[in-house]
Amino acid sequence: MNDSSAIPVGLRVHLAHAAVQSIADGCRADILHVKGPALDAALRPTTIVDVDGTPIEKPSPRWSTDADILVRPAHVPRMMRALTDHAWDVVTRFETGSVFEHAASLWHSHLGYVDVHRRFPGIQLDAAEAFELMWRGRHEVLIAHQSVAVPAIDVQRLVLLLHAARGGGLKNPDGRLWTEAAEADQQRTLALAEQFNAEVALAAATGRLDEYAHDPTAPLWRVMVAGGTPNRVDEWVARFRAAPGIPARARVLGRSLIVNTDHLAMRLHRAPTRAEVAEEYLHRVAKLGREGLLAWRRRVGKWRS
Amino acid sequence: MKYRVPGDVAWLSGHDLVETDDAVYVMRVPDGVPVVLSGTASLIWELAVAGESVVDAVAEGLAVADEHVAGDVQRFLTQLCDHGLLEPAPQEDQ
Repeated sequence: MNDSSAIPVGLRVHLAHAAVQSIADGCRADILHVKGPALDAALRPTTIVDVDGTPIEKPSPRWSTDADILVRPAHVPRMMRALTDHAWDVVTRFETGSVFEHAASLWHSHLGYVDVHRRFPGIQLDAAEAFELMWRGRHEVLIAHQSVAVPAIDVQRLVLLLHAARGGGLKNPDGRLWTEAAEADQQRTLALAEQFNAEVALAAATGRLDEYAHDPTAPLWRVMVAGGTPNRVDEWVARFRAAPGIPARARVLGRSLIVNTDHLAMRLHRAPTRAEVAEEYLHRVAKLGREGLLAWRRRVGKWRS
Repeated sequence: MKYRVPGDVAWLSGHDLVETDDAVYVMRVPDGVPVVLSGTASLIWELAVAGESVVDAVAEGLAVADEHVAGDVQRFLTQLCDHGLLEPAPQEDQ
């Protein structure tokens, strides 16, 4: 028997899903497994394999570097506690993980990363209602011979497309789930997006964002779907406009200058000192100032031309 | 003797994902240390979880008499049981 360091990441993720399900069972948390090995075979690209001289179309394995789960929002605190009790260390918190504050990332020395989602970016339906809707349509599959719950296949397609909306839209490899989908599949996905109040993000993923040009969240999705490294000022302005109501907008403004200490710790491979956080703050202010100037010049240029 | 996988053991065969990977990856969830079984170890695992009589099957596969492999195979199966990765199947399943 060899030790776990010899396990390829793509295979280790299967064990991570199984371990995380066991922890969820232990703390009575409802979780759904998404993406990676949890993805339905019908949504995976197929490859032609040779079986005794006969070419056979087979779903490709879905390689993933981390295990993704969606937790019933009311169960998130207990699930996070249980994970940390079982040697999973928090790497990024919900508040610092992404601009959407939707997921926390945890690391286990044998099993790698798990991303704990409390909602999916793009779904504007209340997170608890959205989870319940997905939970009602769930079914069980085996990952590493352990039974886990996954959302219905149409929900899986929607989730992947919403994810693609944050990275290239139709240029994202998962964009094929729209371009190669049958008309009936597309119609069901549109109907589902309406149920989840996710029409704008789905439009971003499928190249139809202009249909929602007047939606306050459209500028944010325009930045997101472009992928790459956006101008920080453009991103923050889009986030500010997309935030519903004054408290949410005040929060966006407040966060725009706060140093993400989790990301700084990842970069430094240790907890940052106060001096390093202060230095990062000054660097961030200066960077935002430079990018703000660039964004302003770009806008002035547009008006003049 | 026949064996089965306890309910708290997760495992997968490498070749389910990579054609050239003949290893088996096994762990007790949620807190066990994952182990890699390769070569003959993975063959023994696959035979055990298939409900085969492992010693007979390995001897047949290697075209040798049972007594040549029985000691090593049995020791390895005992080791897997000691780690909680396998357990003897109930008599009615044998």
